[in-house]
Amino acid sequence: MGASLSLDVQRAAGDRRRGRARLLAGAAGLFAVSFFLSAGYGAVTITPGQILSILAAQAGISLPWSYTSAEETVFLAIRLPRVCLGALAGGVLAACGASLQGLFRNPLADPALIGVSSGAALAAVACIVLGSGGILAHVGAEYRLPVAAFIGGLAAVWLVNRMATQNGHTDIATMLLAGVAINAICGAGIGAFVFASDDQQLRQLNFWMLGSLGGVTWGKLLPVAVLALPAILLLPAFARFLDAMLLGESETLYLGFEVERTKKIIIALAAVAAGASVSATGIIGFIGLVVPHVIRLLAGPGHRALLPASIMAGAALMLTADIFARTLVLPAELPIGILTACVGGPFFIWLLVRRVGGGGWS
Amino acid sequence: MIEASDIVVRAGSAVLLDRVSFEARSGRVTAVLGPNGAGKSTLLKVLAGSLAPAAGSVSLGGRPLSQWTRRETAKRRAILSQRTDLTFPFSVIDVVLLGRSPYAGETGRAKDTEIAFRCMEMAGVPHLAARTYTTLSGGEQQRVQLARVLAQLHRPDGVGQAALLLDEPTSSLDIAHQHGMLALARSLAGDGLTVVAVLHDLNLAAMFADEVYLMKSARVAAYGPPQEAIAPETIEDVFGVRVRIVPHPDRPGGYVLPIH
Repeated sequence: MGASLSLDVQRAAGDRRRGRARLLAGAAGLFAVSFFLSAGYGAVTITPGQILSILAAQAGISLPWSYTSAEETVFLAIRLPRVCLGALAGGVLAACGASLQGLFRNPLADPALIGVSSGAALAAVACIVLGSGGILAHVGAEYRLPVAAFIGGLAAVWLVNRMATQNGHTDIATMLLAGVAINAICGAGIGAFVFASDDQQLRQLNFWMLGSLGGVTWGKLLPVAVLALPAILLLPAFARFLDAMLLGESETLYLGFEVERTKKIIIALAAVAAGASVSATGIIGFIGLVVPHVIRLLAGPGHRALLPASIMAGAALMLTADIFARTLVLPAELPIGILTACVGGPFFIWLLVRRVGGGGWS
Repeated sequence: MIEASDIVVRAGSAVLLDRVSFEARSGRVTAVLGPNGAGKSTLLKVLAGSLAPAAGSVSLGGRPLSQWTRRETAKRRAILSQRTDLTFPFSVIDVVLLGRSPYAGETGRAKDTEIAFRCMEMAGVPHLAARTYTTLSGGEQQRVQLARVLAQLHRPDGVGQAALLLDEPTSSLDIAHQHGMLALARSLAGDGLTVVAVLHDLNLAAMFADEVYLMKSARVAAYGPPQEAIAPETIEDVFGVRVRIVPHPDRPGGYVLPIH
C-alpha cells in the first residue's frame, strides 16, 4: 500500500464529506427560504426581519425590526402553526418514503405502500359519511376526523404487518403484496362510502382525500408533533442499517445487524408518524416517493445524507406547494395534494422513462 | 474454529440436513461438494447462523453460536454469497465500506477507508473504487463483494480468529479469476484464516482444499483430504457419474475426468 494510494483515499474521503456537507447545507437553505416565504407571504405580508423579531420577542429578546400587533397575531395564530404542520408533514412523508424504499428494497415504496394512507382514508370517509359513534363520540368534534384517520391508518399497517409476519420473521416481499391487497380493499370501501354520500359529505371527503394544511391550530398541531417527531429524529439513526439492507436481508444479518428487531422499529416509527401526518392533513401524495429520489440523484443512495436531506427538502417542497395552494385561487384554497401531484406526476414519469432507458436502479 | 454436530434441518416434511457433523479448522481450506439439493447451501446457512437447526449445535471459536452477539459474530465470520444485487446504485467503495459495519464507532472513517482500499487491492479491484456497483459485470461484482467480506474480517489481531464462508464463489468468474479467488483464500488460510467453500468443480477443490466434505441427500457421504475423499467410487456414489482419476501432468495428485 503506497503513500500515493493512501493520499488518494484521504482525498476521496474528503471529497465525499464535502459533497455531503454541501447537499445538507443546500437542503437546509431551501428549507429556510421556504419557511420565510410561506410564513411571510399572504394577505398580510410579514418580512423575514419581522418574523425573526416576533420569534425573538417570544423569548424576551428584542430585535430592531418593528411589527404591528395584527402582524404578530396573523403570524403566531395562523401562519406559524400552518408552517409547522407543513414542515412536519413534508419531513415525515419524505423520511418515511426514504426509509421504506430502503427497507423494502423497492424504489416505488412510499408511506402509502404499507397501507397507512388508505386505512386512514377509509376511516376518515366512514367518519364523514356515517357520523361519529362509539368511542369517537367522546372526542371533541374537531378532533374526531383525525383520531378516526389515525386509528384507521395504524389498523391497516397492523393488518399488513400481521399478514407478513410468521414465527417472528417479517417477510418484506409478502408485506409489499399484503399492502397492495389492503390498499385495494380500502379503495373498495372508500368507493362504497363515496357512492352512499350526499353532496355536502362528498365535498368534505374530496377535500380530505386531496389534502390540506388549512384550519390548523396549536391545539391540533401538538398531538401530531408528539407522534411524528420521533420518526424525524430517530429514522436518520438507522442510516447504517438501511445502507446494509441495500445488499439484501441475509447480507445485513451477516454484517451483524439485528434485522428483525430493526425492521419492526422502522415500520412502527413510519406507521405512527405517517398516520399522524395523514390524519392532520389528509392524503398528500408524491412527497414521500419523489423527494428521496431527487436526493439520491444528487447525492447517491447512502442514507447518512439521504435521510436528513430528504426531511429538509420534503418540508421545503410542502411549504412551497402550500404557498400556491392558499394563494392561487383566492379567496378559496386549492387542495395541496393537487399541487404535489402536479410536480410529482411528471417527475415520476421522467424517472420511469429514465429507468427504461437504462440509467436505472438495478 | 467452526464446529457443527448432529445438525438436523427440516422444511415442512422434507429433511434438508440429517444429523450432519462438520468441522473447519483454522488455517485450512475446507471444501463442501455434492450434487444440487444435497444440502450444501443449507449447511453454510447453519454455519453462518442465519438458519437455526431443528437439532444439533454450532460453535464458533469454541463457543456456541447462540452465545455470541450478532455483532461479535459478524467480526469473526463473513459470507460471500453466490450473487449480491443492489437496489440502488452505490459506488464500489461504499459497498466495500459496508463490510466495516460491525466496527461502527470503533475504527474511524479514515481507517475504515484505508482498510477498504487494502481489501480491494487483495481482491484485485482497486481500479473499480469509483465505479457504480450496478454497472459492473457479474464477475466484477463478485470480486467487489470479496473485498467487502475481507474488510469485514479485517481485525487488529489478524485473521486467525476469523472464518470466511464462500458459497459457490467461482460460479460467475472466468478461469483466471476462479483460480485467483481460491489462491487468495488459500494464502489467507496460510495466515490462519478458516475458509469454508461450497464448490462444484471437483478439480478446483482437489487443487485448493485441505479437506473436503462430500454431501449426498442431506448427509455427509465422505470426508477427508481430497486425494482420499475424491475417489472414483465415492464420486459415482455421490454424483452418479463415472469418473477416472488420472495423474496431473504437472503437480502431485490426480485430475478427475468424467467418462461415458
